[in-house]
Amino acid sequence: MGKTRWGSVAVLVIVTWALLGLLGDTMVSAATWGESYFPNVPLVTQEGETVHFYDDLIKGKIVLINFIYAGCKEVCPLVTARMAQVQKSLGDRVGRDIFFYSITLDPAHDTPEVLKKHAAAFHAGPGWLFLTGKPEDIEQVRYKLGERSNRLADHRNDAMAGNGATGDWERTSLFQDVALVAKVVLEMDPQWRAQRVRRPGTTSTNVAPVRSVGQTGQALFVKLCASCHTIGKGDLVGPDLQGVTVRRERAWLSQFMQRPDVMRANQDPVAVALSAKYEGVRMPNLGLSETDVGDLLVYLDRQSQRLGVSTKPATPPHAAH
Amino acid sequence: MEKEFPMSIYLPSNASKRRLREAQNARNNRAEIVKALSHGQITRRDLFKWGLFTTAGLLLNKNGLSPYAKSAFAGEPTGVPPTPIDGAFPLTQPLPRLHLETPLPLTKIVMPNGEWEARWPSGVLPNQPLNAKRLSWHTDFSNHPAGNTPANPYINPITHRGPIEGRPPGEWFGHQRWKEFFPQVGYLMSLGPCAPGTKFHPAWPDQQANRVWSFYEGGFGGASHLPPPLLKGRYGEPILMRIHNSCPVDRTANGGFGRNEMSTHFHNAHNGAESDGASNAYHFPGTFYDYHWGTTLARHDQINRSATDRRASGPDGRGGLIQVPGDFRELQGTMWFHDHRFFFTSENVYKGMAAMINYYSGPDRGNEVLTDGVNLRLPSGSLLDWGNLDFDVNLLIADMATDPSGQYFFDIFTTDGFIGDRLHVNFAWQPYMEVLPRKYRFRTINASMSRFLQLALADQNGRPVPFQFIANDGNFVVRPLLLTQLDQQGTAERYDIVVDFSRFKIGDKVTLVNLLQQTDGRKPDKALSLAQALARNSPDTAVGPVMEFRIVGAVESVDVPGYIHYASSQDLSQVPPTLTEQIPIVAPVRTRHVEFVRGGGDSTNTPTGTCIPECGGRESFPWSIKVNGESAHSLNANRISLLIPKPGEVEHWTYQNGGGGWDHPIHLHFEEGMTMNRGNEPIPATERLVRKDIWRLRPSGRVQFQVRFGEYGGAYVNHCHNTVHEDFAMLLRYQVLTDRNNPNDSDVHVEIIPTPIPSPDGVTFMTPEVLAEGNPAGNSVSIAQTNGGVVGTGGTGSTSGTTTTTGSSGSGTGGTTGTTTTSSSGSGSGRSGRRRR
Repeated sequence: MGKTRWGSVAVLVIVTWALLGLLGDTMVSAATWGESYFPNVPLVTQEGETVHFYDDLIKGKIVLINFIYAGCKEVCPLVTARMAQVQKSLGDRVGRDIFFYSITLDPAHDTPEVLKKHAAAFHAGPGWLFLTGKPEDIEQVRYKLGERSNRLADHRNDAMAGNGATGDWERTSLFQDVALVAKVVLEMDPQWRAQRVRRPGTTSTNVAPVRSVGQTGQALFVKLCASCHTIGKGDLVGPDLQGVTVRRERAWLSQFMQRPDVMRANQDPVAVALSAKYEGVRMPNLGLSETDVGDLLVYLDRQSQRLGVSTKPATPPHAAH
Repeated sequence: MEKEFPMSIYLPSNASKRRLREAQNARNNRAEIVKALSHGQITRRDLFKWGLFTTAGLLLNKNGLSPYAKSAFAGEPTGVPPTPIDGAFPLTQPLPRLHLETPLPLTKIVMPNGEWEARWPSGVLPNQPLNAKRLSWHTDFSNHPAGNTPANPYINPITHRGPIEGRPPGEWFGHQRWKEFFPQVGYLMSLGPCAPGTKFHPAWPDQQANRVWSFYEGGFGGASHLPPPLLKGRYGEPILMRIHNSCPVDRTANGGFGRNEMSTHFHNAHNGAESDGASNAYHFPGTFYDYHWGTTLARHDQINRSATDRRASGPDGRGGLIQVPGDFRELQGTMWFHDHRFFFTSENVYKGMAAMINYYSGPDRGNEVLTDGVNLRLPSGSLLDWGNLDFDVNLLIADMATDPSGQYFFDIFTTDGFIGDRLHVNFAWQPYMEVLPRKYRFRTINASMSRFLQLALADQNGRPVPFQFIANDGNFVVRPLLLTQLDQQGTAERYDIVVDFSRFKIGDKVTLVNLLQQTDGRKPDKALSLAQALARNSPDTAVGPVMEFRIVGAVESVDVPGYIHYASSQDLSQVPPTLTEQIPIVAPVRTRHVEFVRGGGDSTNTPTGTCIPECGGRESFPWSIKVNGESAHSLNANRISLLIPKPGEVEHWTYQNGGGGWDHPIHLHFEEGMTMNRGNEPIPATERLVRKDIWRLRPSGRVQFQVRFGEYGGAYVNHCHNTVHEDFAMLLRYQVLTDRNNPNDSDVHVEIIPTPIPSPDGVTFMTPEVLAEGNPAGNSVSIAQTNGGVVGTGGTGSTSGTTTTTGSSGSGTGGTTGTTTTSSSGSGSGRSGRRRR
C-alpha cells in the first residue's frame, strides 16, 4: 500500500473536513461521500478495459453496486439474476446515466474473461460492468462501500444505490420486489424525484405492483426461481422449466433443487451437463427445504399442465436435459 | 509514525498538521491540568478518577494529554478519527434532564356522519391545526377533485404536492378502536433540524442544523433541541401524537447522514399497526402523521374485562384511579419511541429521532407518598399527584462520534454495526448529576445503534455500589433483585434500577461505569472488572465513567421549579418486596422457531480458494424462519413471514442466533414475551420469567419466550435492534389478525392488508406475499386486494372486490392443501357502512 497514495488521500480528507466547517451543512453529503471518500483505484471491466473507480465509475453517476464472485454456489447468482431484472425494468437509462457494477470479491479467480462469461450468462446489458482488479484495490473499494465481512461466505448480498453527484447513498435489498429496487435507483435522480404526478394518490413511478401471489409454491417461484427460469417462455439464465417434472425423476429434482452443489461435486452426469450447457453460471444452493421443493414441484406441475404438457412421471430417468 | 495508521480509512500516515495540532492541544491540556491542580481547583483524586493519573502520580501519556503520546486513530472502532474533546474535561457538565413535554387537551367533536374528531386547543399554532380523526387526511386529499395540484386544500403545505398527512388513506390505516380509546390529550410535535447552540458539551462546537434532527414542539419551520423529549402517559388517558416532518425537502441536505423520510415507532406500546410506525408507512417533509397511542392495557379483551381490578388502572390526577380492563401484570413503564424508516433506522435514530415516554399506572404511580394499597411508592417524589420526576430519572445512554471538526458523524456504509467512541447521557457527553442522600430510580436505556453496554456503580474508592433492579424493558420483575452490576444491555433494552445514596455523605461521589469493551459492531469484546474499567484500561474510549452522581445537601425540584428538596427531609419512598405477580407458563397453542442467520460456521472458503468447488462455509440469507419444524427463508418487508391467526392464543417462540460470531438484540414489536429459557445456557435472574420485548441472543445462543397477541391487528415486525443490522434487513414481518366475532376488534384486520408504498405524491399499496411457512398449518387467510397500486381515484380506496385465500403447505412430502379463491368485498369505502369505529 503506497504511502504516497495514502498521503494524498489524507491531505484531501483534511481539506474536505476543513471546507465542511466553512460551507455549512447543505452540501455535507456530497462533500463527505465523494472524491475524498472513494478511492480512485484502477479496476478492470469484463471487456478488459481499465477504469478508475471514482473518476470513471462514481463521479456524477447514478449507480447500483453489488458484490459477487463467479464461483459462488449459493445466494450470489440469484442476486445477480435479480440485478438483471432490475436492469431490464430500468430500460435504456442503464448505460446512459444509471450504471450497474458487480464487483468481484475473488479477483484472483475472476479474470476479465471469467467475468465476461458470467455477465453473458445473466444477459447483462450495456451499462452493467463486472469489475475485477488487484486484490488490494478491491479491498479498498469493498471496505469503502461497506462490504467489510471477514470471510467470503459472509459477504453482503444487498446492493448500494448511490448518486456520485449528491453523495446520496442507500442500501437496498435485492430480494424485495424488483419494481421497488428500480424505484430506489430512479429516486437517486433529483429530477426524477421532482416530477409531480397529477393523479392524486399515485406515485410517480409507473412500475406495476406485484400480482397477487396465491398459488402454492408461486411465491417461492417468483422469489427464488423466476429471475433465472421461465415456464414455457424459453431459456433465460437457466433452462425453461416447462415440463421439467416430466423430463426428470422427482427424486432427482428434489435432490438437485436442494443440493445442486453436492450433485455437481459428485459428478452427477445431468448436473455436470447442465453446468456445461449454461456456461458461466451454476444453479445455486438456495437452502430449500423438502417442503419448499414440494411446493415448487406442485407449482411447476400445475403451470406445465396449464400449458398442456403431460405430467406423467418420466421414464427412463435423466432422459433429456 | 506511519505504522500507527495502516488500518485508518480517513487519516493515514502523514497527517502531520493534525498531529502538530494534537500535540499543541495536549500541551495546553496538560498545562491547564497542572495549573488547576496547583490552584486547588481539582485534586489528584479527581485526576485519578478521570483516569488521567497513574498510581505513581504521573499524568498519563494519553492522546490529548501528552505531547508525546501516540495518536489513536488506527484503533478507533468507528473507523474515523476520534471525537475531539477540545479541552473539555469529563464529568464537568450537569446532566440535562430529558425535555418534558406538556400535553394539549383535546375536544371531542361529533361529526354529522357519526365519526368523532378531536379538536386541538386554539392558539397553539398560528393556524388552527386540522382535527385528528380516524381516517387519514390523505383520504380527503385523494378524494378531492383538484387532485395533486395546489388547488387541493389537503395538499402538503410545504412542497405543494402530495397529501398533507402521510398516514396512508382509507380503512387499512384507519385508527383501530378509535372511539373506544378516543384521545383525550395530544401532542403537536415536529422532527427537524436542530437549533443554533445545540451541542454535546459546552466546550464543543455548535452542531450544524442538519447534523442533528430531533423533536420540537409545534408545526413546520421550527428548530429542534437536545436533549430529546420525555412524555408522561397514563393508563386511561389515550394520546394523539401528531408528528410533523420538518426536515429539509432536499433529501441530500442531511448533514452527511439520515433520510428526511420518517416513521415513528412507539417501541412496544400496545397500539394498532397503523400507529406502530413500522409498517413501511413513512412520510415526507411537509406532512404530518397522526399516531393513536391509546394506552390500551394488554389483555383488555380477555382479562379483567369489567375493570374491577384496582391494580389495572392509571392515576386520575386527584389521588384516585381510572380503572381499565386488562391484565395488571402487563402494565408497562419505561418506554421510548424512535424513527423506524426501513434502511435508514440507524442513521435517523442516531441523528436524534428518539425520545422516551414513561407510562404511569396505579401501582407505578410516580408518587412515593400516596398510600392506597395499590401504589408501590417507588422513588419519584410527591409534589405532583403522579409522574414525579424529582427522584425518578431517565438516562438515555448512547455512543456517538464526531468528525475532526466536532460535527456529529455517522458511517453510512457500515453493515457490521456502528460503534461510536464516546458515550453521552441524554445527549450530553459524560455529565454529572447532583443527588440527595436518598433513594433514586433510574430508568436506563441503551440507545446506541450497535454498541452493547454493561453498567455498574462505583464509589469514590472504586468499590462497587449495590442497587436494586426493578424492571426490564419497562416490565416489573416480581421481586426486586439486589445487584452490583447489570447484565449486558443491548440496543433498546431498558433497565430500571433503584440506587440508595443514603449511605453516602454530602460531598461523596458515585460513578456510573461502563464495563463492556466493544470495538466491532458484531458483538462486544469483553467485560472489564470494575477496577480495570475505572482505570480505563481499554482501547475503547467508551469504557469507564459514563456519568457521576454528586451527593449534595439540597437540589431544586424539576416537578415544581423553585421548590428545594433538602437532604434532611425524610425519604418516604419504598421498594416493596413484591412489585407484581408472576404470569404462569402454560401449554402453548403452537410453537414457532425463528432463526437469525448472519455469518456461518467455519469456512476455508477464501478468495484465493483452497477448497473450491465444494466447501464447508455456506452462504445464506440473512435470516431464516422455521415454524413448527417446517423451514423457509428469505426476507422482505412486503412478505408476511409469521401470521398470528387470531387473538389470545398462547404461543411459545424460540429465537435462535444461527450466526456464530455475532450477537443480535432481537426486538418483537407490539407484545412482550415472558422469557422462559436460553436453551441449555444459564439465564440471569433479571430475565428468568421476566417480560421483555427485546432479547440479546448471544453468539450462537437462543431464547424461548411465551407470548400472546390481542386487541389490535395489522402488520408488525420483529427484527434485530442493532439498527445497522436491521437496515441490513434482519427484519421479518408478522401479521396479527383480529377476531371478527369481537365487536370491539377492527373488522379491517380480519384479513391481511396490503403493504403501503409511500411517495411524495401519496401512498400506493402492494399486495404482500404470505409465506406459507409462516402461516400455521391448516389456516386459511385472505388478503385485501389492491387495484393497480392506485388508491383514491374517485373514491376512498378504489379496491377491487376479490380476495385470495392461501393455504399453508402441508407436510414435507410435497403434498399441499388446496388453494382456493373466494370472493368477498374489498377493503375500500364500499364496506364503510358497517365499519366499526
